[in-house]
Amino acid sequence: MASISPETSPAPWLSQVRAVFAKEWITEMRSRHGIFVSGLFGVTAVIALVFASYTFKPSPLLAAGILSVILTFSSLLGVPRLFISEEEQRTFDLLMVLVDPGPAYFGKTLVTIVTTALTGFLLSLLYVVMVGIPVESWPLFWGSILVLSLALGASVSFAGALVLGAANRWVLAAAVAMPFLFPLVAMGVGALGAAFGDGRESDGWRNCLAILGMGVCLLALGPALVPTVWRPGSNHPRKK
Amino acid sequence: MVLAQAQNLGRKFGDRWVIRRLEFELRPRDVLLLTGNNGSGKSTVLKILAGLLSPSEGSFQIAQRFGYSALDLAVYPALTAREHLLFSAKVRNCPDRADELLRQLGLQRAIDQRAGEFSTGMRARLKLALAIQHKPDVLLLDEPSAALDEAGQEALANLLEEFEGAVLLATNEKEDGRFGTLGLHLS
Repeated sequence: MASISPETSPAPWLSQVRAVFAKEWITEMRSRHGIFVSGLFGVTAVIALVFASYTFKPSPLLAAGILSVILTFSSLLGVPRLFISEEEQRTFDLLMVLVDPGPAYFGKTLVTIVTTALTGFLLSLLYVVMVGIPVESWPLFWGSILVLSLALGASVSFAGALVLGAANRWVLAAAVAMPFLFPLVAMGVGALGAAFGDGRESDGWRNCLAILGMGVCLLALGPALVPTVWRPGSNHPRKK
Repeated sequence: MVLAQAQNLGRKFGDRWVIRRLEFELRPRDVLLLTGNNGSGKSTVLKILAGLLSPSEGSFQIAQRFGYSALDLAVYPALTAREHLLFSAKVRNCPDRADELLRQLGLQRAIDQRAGEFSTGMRARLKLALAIQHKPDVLLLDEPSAALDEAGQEALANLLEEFEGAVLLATNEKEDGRFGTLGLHLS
């Protein structure tokens, strides 16, 4: 199978990514569904913890563990929606006719990362202020939140994109994301624990680097793997 | 110049062949009418050519610049008609022509209205605008007139009359017969 008129070409990769990002951002800001669901879960969890920790202060490691779990489930609740909703509102065919699969995946993943980072920053600040956890290293704290948001966004996007055609997508997305999320939570606990004063700061930065590495790997793997899963017709001349 | 062709094209779902041994060749100004009963594979042929399905056997070629519009193709409910055309223009690397196209298809009053508020006929017009925006060489139209009112059908007729490329039109509407220069009945 080949193209008959190869002289025409779609927009450069980066322009397509930017266009998909803009489309997703407009859609997300108009519905605010993902941010609302993630934020509501996070705020509820923080408030519950405020009441639970009224008589005792959690240790740095426990506080780090709880924050990592809140961030993970908050991203898991809202984020695969960006991919799955495309199939549910039956607009995925339109997207595939217009955009190459790689930029479509990357544009959506970037929106996912930005929304995860936004809710992550707000929830973390709320958590620290309301529960009253002393932060020993603010740069490490914010660095951990940043890389965790990137890696969480990348992994749930990857999972959401992989299960797009499946019958029970929501459950499957969570199941597929779990193998990526467990190590992320473990490394997140290490990084945030160090920021809260448990262990050495250098170990915390090492954990941050590992989280970043995992996020970058998933980001790089996505555009290469996902298009072949999305559509069997991905070797179409338009999509080469 | 051949703009689209299929050789021994076939597609099966499970064990059932929906289309088999399909052959055609389209040149500029050809309008191939694909007709047949429900489930005869008309939409499947168009989806294969649009890259949304892969063939189970055979091969096809199509001009890289093609437009696709189908009855079951959904548009983004949160985006306006103008935003749809701006988005597709950016990814296609072409001028958006939003005002011109929406006027041509009678959607000028709804240009800043969200597609979620559109009627089925208005959505069909928007999909036609998206299909022709980048001045394609081949148009793949699946039941284009099914949801259109009289004015919409007239706009479609004008569009097809002016179109200089090749058209593959799947239809069950007898009215659409007037557009065809070639015919293929799928059984």
